[in-house]
Amino acid sequence: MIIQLAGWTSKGLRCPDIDLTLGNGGAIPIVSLLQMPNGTGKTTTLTMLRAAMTGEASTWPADRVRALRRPGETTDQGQFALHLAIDGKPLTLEVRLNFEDGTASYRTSSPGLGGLVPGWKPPQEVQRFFDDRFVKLFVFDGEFADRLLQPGYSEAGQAIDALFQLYLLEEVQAKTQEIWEKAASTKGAKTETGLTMYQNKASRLATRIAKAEKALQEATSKLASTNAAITELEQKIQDRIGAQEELRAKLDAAREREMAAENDVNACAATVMGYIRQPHVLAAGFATSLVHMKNQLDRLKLPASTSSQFFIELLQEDNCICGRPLDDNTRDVLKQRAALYLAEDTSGVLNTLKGDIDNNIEKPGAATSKDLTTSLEELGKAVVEKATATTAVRALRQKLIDQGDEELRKNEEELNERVKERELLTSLIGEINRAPSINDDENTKCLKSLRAQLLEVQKKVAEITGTIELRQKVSIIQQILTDALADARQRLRTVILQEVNDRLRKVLYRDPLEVASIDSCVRLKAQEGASVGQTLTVGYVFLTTLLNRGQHQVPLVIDSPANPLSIEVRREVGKIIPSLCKQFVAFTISSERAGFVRPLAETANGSIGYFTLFRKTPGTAPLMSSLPQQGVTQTESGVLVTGKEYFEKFDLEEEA
Amino acid sequence: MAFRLRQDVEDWFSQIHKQKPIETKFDLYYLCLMLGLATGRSSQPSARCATISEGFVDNFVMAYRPYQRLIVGLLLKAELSSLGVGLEESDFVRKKLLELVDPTAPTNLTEAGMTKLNEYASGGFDYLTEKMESKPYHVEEFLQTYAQLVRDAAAGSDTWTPATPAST
Repeated sequence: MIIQLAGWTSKGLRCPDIDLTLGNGGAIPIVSLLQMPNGTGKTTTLTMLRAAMTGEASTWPADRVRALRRPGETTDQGQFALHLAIDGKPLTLEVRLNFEDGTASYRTSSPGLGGLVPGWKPPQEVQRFFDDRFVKLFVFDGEFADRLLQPGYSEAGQAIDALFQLYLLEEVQAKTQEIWEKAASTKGAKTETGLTMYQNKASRLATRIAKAEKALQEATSKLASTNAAITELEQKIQDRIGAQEELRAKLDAAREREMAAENDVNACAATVMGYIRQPHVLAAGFATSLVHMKNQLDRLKLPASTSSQFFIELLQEDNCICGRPLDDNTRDVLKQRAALYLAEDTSGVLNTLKGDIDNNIEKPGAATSKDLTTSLEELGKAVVEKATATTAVRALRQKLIDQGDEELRKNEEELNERVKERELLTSLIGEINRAPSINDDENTKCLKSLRAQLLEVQKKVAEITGTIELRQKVSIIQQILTDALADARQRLRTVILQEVNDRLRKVLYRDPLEVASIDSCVRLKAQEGASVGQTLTVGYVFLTTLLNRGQHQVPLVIDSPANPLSIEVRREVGKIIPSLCKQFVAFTISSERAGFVRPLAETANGSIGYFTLFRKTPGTAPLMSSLPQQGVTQTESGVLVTGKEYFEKFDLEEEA
Repeated sequence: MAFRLRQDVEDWFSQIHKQKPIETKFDLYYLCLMLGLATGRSSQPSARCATISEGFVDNFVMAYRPYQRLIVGLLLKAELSSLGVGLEESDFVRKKLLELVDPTAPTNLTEAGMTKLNEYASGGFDYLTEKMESKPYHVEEFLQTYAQLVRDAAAGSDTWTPATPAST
């Protein structure tokens, strides 16, 4: 399927009223450059382009709809009609905004529909390309391509998921969950409180799991690039200081001492903590007080040989053990006194406490607070020793660096930063991946624990609602879908990797680059050595490889493709883009032209359209007198000029 | 009722928690508890911190089981001292024992006993954060400072410097 952008018509919106046709006499050029000064509705145009394609506007809240009304105007209607060519046949998707009631509606026109019909109704076979997750792969801003290669972002992985609609597997998973939750929500009044509690807990756990999965994905991705950077930096540093053998040997010896000192500190700290865990060793006062307590309990004859049970049984008799009859007064006194005697099992605890005091404190050879004092002194010495060893290592490193050069210093600083970063990431990944602990609650980051907790809660909900069998079936389907998703992702990424590398060999044949892997982001072999332009080119190659697989072709619509780039990089990228796709539509400002337009035009081989569009405002009033004789279309709110000459000389001071 | 740990305790110890030799949340709890008992400071955990790790563990963890009754003993002593009562007052001692000790509970503590223990742990943490300028970053340095704090507090407390044993 070939999808082309033929033009659009807008009216009553924040962007100028305009009827734009990209094609010149029917043929749509490979490159269309649309120059719009800042503040003339570029963002609105792109928003409406996306909205027309995806059908999303019907879900917009009222304030979002109203925000698209042109400031200062009272018109109650706005329209945006997107004209497309699908395999050469026209398709128009029109968004109609009602500013009064804040709603949006659609109309669709195509030969297959027999004319204009209400609703968003692109042909079935086109709809998968107009899913919002897919549209963002070909309508985006200039920084998107760069993010495809940045660790920490997951745009590349999401792009593959979007192209192959892997999200459907996740949607089926969500649907099965929804079905079960619906079944489980029919409950009896008796169980309502408990059920709500478990359902809320399940919801919190599910959110927590999603967060932990995302954090794990991002941390893993970042760790991979951090490790690569560390290896490279270490190698660089090694190379630079390798020649200074004597100093190096001293450094190695100092490092060994430092490591030994660190081991000593750890051993001493473990001994100290072992003593601290014994309360009677932690403070001498605790030990003496406990011994005093034991002696005092002995003096008080506690636990008494008579337990409270004796008096309770006595109360049931007619006579006291001394033979006197038990009257009510005596019984009351006995009852009160009985409360002061300990039950037999409480007496048992007291006896064990006394035994523990004997064994832990009074027994010859038992640890005392002096042992902790000694250990603390040893720990203090070990800490000083370690600090001395660390200082020695730092001094030697500094000496090596001082004998090196500025770059070495920078490398050292960067290495330190990266190592810290690696520690944090490793610790985070370890925490997320660790085995569950009995101490884990729902605030843990441990994924296994969270999943186990969720399973437990779901079981509980299933028990309460009598949906155990359904829960089991849902669990099985969800596991199958999870496995299928992981497997499909792995296989597809391998195939795409091959295709991207094949394409890169052709596109960058003079200075080829190779993609090492694709996970959440695209990773280059020797990425550090690639220029910004090359990296960006790889991003575009990756995207267009995805978008133009098989018989399919979709346009690339990019907002400010050259704005974030230097002139050098613009040339590099400008040369490549037209060769990557069949249609490239760029929204630019005048300051982006330098270095970008000429190589673009050369590669497009004349198949290029130049459009300049601005709104009629006091700021653009001076431009009205210098409009060319031909190619000008004016509406009440805007001016559209077609042609290269005006495009190239157009300038507004505020853009510089 | 189980052991309760304030979330701010975990946050405060975050840099050294799980850094050997501090291995469990119970270690954090115990460190605070001992300081609370040493100083006689107690506070309601929920009044000091909105988030409480409810029942992070139900029983003394293995490393502390041999000493759990000694801890109960210290609690009993601290509670009697807080009432100005000495160990020689047998009726009071019995009453307190009945109030705090539950022989059937794995912790050997009643609900009231657990509540008190949690309050001392909370009070101990209050004291710790008052005395230490910043949260600990190096476990070996912390242990030295901590031990000294507990010892100083116990040495300066009438509870833990028993007067001449009362006459029989």
